[in-house]
Amino acid sequence: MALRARMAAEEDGRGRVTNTDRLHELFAHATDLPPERRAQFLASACGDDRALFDELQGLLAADEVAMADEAWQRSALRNQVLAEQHAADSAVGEMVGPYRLVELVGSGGMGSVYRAVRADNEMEMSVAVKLMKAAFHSQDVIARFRAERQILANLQHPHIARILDAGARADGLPYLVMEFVDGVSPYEYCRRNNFGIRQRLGLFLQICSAVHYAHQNMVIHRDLKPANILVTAEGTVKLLDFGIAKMLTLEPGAASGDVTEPLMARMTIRYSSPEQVRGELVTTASDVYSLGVILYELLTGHSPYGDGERPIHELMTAVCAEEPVRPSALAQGRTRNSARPDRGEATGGGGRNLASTGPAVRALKGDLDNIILKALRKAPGERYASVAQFADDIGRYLEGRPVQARGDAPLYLAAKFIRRNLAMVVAVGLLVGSLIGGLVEVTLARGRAERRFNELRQLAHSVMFSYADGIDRLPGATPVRAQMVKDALNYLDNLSKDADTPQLQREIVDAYIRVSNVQGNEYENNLGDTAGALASSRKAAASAEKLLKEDQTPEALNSAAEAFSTFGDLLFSTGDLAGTDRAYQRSVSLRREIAAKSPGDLDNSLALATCLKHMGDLYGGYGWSNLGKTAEALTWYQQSSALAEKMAAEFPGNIAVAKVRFKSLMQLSSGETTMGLRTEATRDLGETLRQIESVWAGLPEDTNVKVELANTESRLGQMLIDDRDAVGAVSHLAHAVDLMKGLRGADPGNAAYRRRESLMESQWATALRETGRIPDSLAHNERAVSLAEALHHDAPASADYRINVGVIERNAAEGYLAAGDPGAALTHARRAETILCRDAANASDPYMQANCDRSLVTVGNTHLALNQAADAAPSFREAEKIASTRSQIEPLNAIFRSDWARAEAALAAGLVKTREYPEASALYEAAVKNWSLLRQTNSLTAEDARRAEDEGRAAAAIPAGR
Amino acid sequence: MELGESVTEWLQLWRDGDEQAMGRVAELVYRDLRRLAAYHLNGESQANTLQPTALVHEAYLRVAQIRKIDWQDRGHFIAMVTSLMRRILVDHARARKAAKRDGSLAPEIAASHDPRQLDTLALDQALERMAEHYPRCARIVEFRFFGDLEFQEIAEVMELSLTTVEREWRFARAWLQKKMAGAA
Repeated sequence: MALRARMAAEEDGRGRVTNTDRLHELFAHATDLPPERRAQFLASACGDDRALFDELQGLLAADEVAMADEAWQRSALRNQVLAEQHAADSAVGEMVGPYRLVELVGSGGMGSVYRAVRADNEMEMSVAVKLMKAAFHSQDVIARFRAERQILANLQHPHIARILDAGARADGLPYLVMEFVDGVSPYEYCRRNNFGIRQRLGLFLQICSAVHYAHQNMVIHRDLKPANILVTAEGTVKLLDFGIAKMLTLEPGAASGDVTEPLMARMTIRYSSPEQVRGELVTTASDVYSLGVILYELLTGHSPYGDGERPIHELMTAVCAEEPVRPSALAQGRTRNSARPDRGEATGGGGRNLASTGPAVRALKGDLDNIILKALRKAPGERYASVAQFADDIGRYLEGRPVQARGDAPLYLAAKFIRRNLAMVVAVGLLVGSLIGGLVEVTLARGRAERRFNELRQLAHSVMFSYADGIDRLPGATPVRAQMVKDALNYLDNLSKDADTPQLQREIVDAYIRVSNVQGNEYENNLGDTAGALASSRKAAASAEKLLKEDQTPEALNSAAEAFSTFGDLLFSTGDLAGTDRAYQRSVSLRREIAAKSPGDLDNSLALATCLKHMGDLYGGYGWSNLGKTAEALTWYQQSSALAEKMAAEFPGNIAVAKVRFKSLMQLSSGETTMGLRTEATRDLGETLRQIESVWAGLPEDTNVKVELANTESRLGQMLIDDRDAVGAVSHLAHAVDLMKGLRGADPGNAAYRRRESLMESQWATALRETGRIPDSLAHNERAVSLAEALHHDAPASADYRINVGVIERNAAEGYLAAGDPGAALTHARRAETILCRDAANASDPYMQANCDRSLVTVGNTHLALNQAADAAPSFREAEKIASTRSQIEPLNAIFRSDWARAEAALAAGLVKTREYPEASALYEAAVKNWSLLRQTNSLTAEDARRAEDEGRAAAAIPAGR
Repeated sequence: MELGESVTEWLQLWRDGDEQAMGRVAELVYRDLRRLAAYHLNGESQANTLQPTALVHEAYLRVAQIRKIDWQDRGHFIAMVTSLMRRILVDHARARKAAKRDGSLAPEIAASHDPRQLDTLALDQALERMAEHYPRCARIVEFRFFGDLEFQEIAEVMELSLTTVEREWRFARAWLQKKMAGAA
């Protein structure tokens, strides 16, 4: 027998140690053996180990005990439930107030009902005593009882069981004393007496009169169900438990004035109205609904939501969202469960045996159908306004007069009900996504060919939209989100095959856009599924094309414009610049059309301004891949900004306008920077800052504003560095980092924030370096590197975050160079070069090229600092080549020219070290020439001016003797 | 947080380990549990029989439509919920015990300790001790006793064979029985 090695040990009661694993194993073996062989086995297995033997023997004995003990069969939950049952049973014989409990009559969720008699006079009639469960907070319940008792006691009606007394026992258990009713359920009564439809309706009208009376007296029953309705042998209906539900609460301290449903009081979902299921306001209409359910069952023998057991959450959803089968349809066998009418379990509850009413059901067609269904409307406002009206309509039917209830009214499933319903259903369940997914499934599975298709389609859309809104914020919800997206796309793809009307087509466009946004739009703050989002947006665009063929209304144009712009955004993020151009152009022209048709449309103007800004980004936006058409980019930015200014003048207080305005202005300033229009750029950036701060003052918690503020501070910081105002730069950058830290703290998973923070730390490092605070600057470099590396590590597939590491590493290298540590600098520089020059051959991506040549210059400088001039040269040459190519493609781009000049000067310096003087001189000349050009166009930064001076001196220092 | 507030927010807080959120969720969960128990007992289900296992199924497994979540999440979810239920039930037992001592509990409730039931508190304590040496066994017991899962379900959630689960259970039961009897 293989014994396992010793592992953890266990102390037995006598302080000796036995081996736990062995114990386990031996026990298992022993219990596999028949009992008579065990002793022998124990002896041989344990040998001398007395402790083990005792231990094992003890366990085996315990095993026998446990096996025979029923208690082990039950879980804690079951025990709990049993305990209460037991309590109920054992109360018989006890005293409750002046009454003695004689027998247990029924047991329910709230408590148990007993027949009781007065202790002092056994000959008196019985009463019913309802003893509440201890679970309810007695103090509050009693308080409520007292408040309600008078009202309830005043309900004197032949069809209402009177409340005689209420109170609490010495131990605190509340109780109610009521008239004792000896009767059966309405169903049972009708069955026994073979009631037909008219007679059943007559009985029902008795019920209605009782409820109506109570309503007149401001009492809502809240818990109408067959179990609360008894019919005496004489055929008199008696309603029980009026208003009791209101009094019961599990919430400590709950006030009596609460009109919403105390959560636990209502047990009977089958008879609950949708608003009760959702825990919303309960009105007389809720009682109407419950009556409707009762009538439905009374006449058809089936429950409106299916007769079998359904899981509670499903039932709740059904009550809120499922349309009951028309009562008359049940007669033709088209029941949900295809059940035989008198199946033993076709009860829906309580073991009642509903009568088979086959022939009667056919008579339901038409008016009765409509009457019942009107009472069962999901929206309280659409039911009968009162029980009296309900009863009147039944009366009319009985007299053969026209009824009020209309058939064929579109069953309006209000989207908002569904949205709120989801929240409620989830409150019972725990996991949002899968429930919602389930609801969509339910929706899609039903209602195909019927005229309800339209309503259900609206429903599905609202479901998708409502939960698309929430799903982004669910952490770790990815599997759920993926499922949701899959469901939605599946649904949409199918739907678009059938799309026949422009309205539907437009909804499809909108829906695809929504799904694409969920999947991950580049401009949103999430990583998302770009490929998926692109695919969905492509479908949106394709659907938009289809739509435009049929429909040129402003709404259609709007949906289409939105589709193209979303599509464009995603194409941009995947680097298809030509495609982006086409898509954005469509969007812009559509929006212009809309503006022509409806000039006052603010939303459209804002969207247009944003689109124009995106065009600018596409053509020459600094910081990402673009078409490299700097001058045109500026034009786009100018158009965007001009439009935004116009909007701001027309709508001065409007926040949305203010936001678009400062964003456009910020981009305009960046475009101006690129074009070397430094004066304008400085002015506009300053103005941007002023505007954002003003908006921020009004919306201090708005994260988007904070992000833009941080961005602006960061750009301003950069500008000040270029202007050689490093001290000024430091304060702006410190603020930018601070803002970003705060944002990241509140939303730690946000990758875009992390990236920005890393970049801003890096910039801050630069500013500090320029002010001579080297150790501080290095600290920030290191921090930036650490943030960037972590982000890259978390999202290895993202090119953006990889490049980010490169950019930051390069700056770290510069930092170490300034600190006089070229060894460390080299490590960082090499890493930067590896990342940034990976795809440097990409001639159409000026941003990447700029990163590459700069990193090469840094590498070269590092080698120079290490006195490795020979190693420096190749890097410098490469850098100069790339920078010059780029600048020549875009001669107006001041930044590129500046890069070129720096690359030339760096190469020149390298060549001086390797004594290649003639070439060095020529390069210095070229660099100075570039800088002069910049100066002539007023595009020379102060930083570059300094360099020009320095390099001029260096050039002059080259030994003569060319 | 009030009912009707976003459950997604509850979940977020809960996942972040916010104890208060956990408490609040626990409270509501317990109430739901009770409601569902009552629902089943109240004649809404078939023939008034006790079906507490269906109860747990309903409240926590089917309500969450577990089948739609992939296996990893499901196991994690069930484990979370089970330990939540354990806490709730133990807290409740403790409260009842305290109430019994200070007399605020109704006598027939107090007296209702059915000898056919295991003492929840004693079991909980014994289980804690067992977990120190036999963690896997302890989990199984937790799932069975507090989570009310069937052996097959436990096997699926813990990715063990059914035989292993049953064997572990048997051992655990004996061990606990011995421990509780010794402590009594």
